[in-house]
Amino acid sequence: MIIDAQEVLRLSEMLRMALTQAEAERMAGDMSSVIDYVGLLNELDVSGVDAMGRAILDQAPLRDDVPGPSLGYPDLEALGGGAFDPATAAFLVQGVFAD
Amino acid sequence: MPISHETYASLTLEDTLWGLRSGAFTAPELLDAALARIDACEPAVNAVITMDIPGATKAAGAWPRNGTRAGTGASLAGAPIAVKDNLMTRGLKTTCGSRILGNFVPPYDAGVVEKLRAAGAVIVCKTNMDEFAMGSSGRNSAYGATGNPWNPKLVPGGSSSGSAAIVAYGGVPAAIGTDTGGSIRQPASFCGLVGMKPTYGRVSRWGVGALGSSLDQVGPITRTVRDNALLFDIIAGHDGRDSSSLENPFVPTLPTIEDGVAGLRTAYDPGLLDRGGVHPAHAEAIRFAVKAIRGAGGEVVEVALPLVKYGVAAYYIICACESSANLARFDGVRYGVRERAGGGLWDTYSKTRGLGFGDEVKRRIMMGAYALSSGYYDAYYLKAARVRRLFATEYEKLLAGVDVVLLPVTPAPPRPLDQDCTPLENYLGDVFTVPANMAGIPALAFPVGTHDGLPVGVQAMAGYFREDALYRLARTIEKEATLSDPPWARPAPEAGQ
Repeated sequence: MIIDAQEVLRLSEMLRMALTQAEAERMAGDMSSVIDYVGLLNELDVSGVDAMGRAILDQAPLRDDVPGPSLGYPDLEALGGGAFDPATAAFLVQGVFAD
Repeated sequence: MPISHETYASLTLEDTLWGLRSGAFTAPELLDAALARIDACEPAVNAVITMDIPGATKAAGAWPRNGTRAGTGASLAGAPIAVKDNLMTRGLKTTCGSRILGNFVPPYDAGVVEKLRAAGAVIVCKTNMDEFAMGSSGRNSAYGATGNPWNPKLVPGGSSSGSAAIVAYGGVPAAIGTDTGGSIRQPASFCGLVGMKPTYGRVSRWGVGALGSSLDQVGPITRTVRDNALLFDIIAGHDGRDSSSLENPFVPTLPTIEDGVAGLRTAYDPGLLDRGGVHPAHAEAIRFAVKAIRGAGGEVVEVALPLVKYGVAAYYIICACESSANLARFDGVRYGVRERAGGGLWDTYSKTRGLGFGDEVKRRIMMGAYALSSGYYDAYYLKAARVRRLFATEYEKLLAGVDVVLLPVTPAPPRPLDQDCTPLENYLGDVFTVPANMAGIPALAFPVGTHDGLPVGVQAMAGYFREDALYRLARTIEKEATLSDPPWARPAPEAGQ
């Protein structure tokens, strides 16, 4: 396989996305077959071809630098079950090192 | 006058608006029929994640009679519409089909939802979808798989699975979907419907849960070509809050839709149909369309599309890279479900994302991170982005000489809902739809007939901003096409059927 379970687990740790060993082994097989298939692109000569990041416009049009309406309290309260805490009108973030 | 849900199910969007304006029924009566039809069909199909009965009742109540209110000019006044669950709806849960957003209630409406509400639409529900629009089966939802109303044991296609299914069973005459690599066109085709992927930047992406930001577009799914144009004309146009929204003036497409195909030049690649890999009924559908165009006085030429086979490989690298970045924001802190872990913030992030995302989402996040990582970036992302340029150039040159290109929508018909496939097998089903997203051009899927009791469609692509040509062509072919025994004209399917 092009990618093994150990590599998948290393990626998942960097991505802050917990995986079980069984998931990692399954994903390694799936990802390897996709990457193997992507090798098809090597049939094409792309030397001298500019990479294309988006269609139609090479650069997004900029809007005028004028303040507009934004969400505020109580709109944020509408987040309901999210991390917004109506009591403090703040988003509650867990401590970095411990609860 | 009250309307039965069986009668309602067959009404097109135009029928609905005519009935409302003529006083044949009122918006609240229409909503009652819609809710009854949805109630009857949902146990077998599962097209809906969240109903909005209070919101829909209030919206319908604004159009109590004759579907009009003096001076509003609202073009969708009182019409029931469904919206895919990755468009933000103020005060109404928006999950993107994911467990990680199972409790997320947005504080604002997406740009398209604003336009629908301003036009008087009654938004009835949020529709089921493959999680974060990753999938083409309707099976990758945290809220259960969706069945195909033509045969609930088959997939309806995806990722706009619920939007297509609810229109197909007659729950609403029109719905909104999103299309990153075929997610409007493929389910529309599997369900015998019309689905438009507009020009990139033509419809606002503001307030849409992003999958691949350079590929995503919002578009309508309907039962007729005219309905599709009608809804497209309402949702299209510039939105300054979306940095990819185009400022080019928008010209409505409905006024020219009956202009026919005289003067339009259409191309197709017969070799693509003969090389194998395309189901005979899907190849025959293209030949039917070619015959209908010629019969109506249009010109059809043969061309070669040699890059088609490379599309899936390039697309899936680009899409995975963009989705990996877009989905980094889901960490259980700012919104959505939080899975607390005792080891501190990092563990909470990790547990939240590990439990909150489904398999396909995790796979694409990791594929994207892998393809963007040091040492692999040139070999994967950069290579795919260069191949994307080749695609765009190929279509630009081709569409300088013709107005429309015809392709199948999918190589094969919908598969059984309980049939497992590898991820790669799933991806390969998108071979004919991803080129339009990579090039940014508009593409329309529409039905041309049935085969073995299932609908068969074709796809038409055009140059930037040429949605009008697609609608003219599709409307011409639609007049020659017959769909036998569609689900919107049948009794509601029974669960387990």
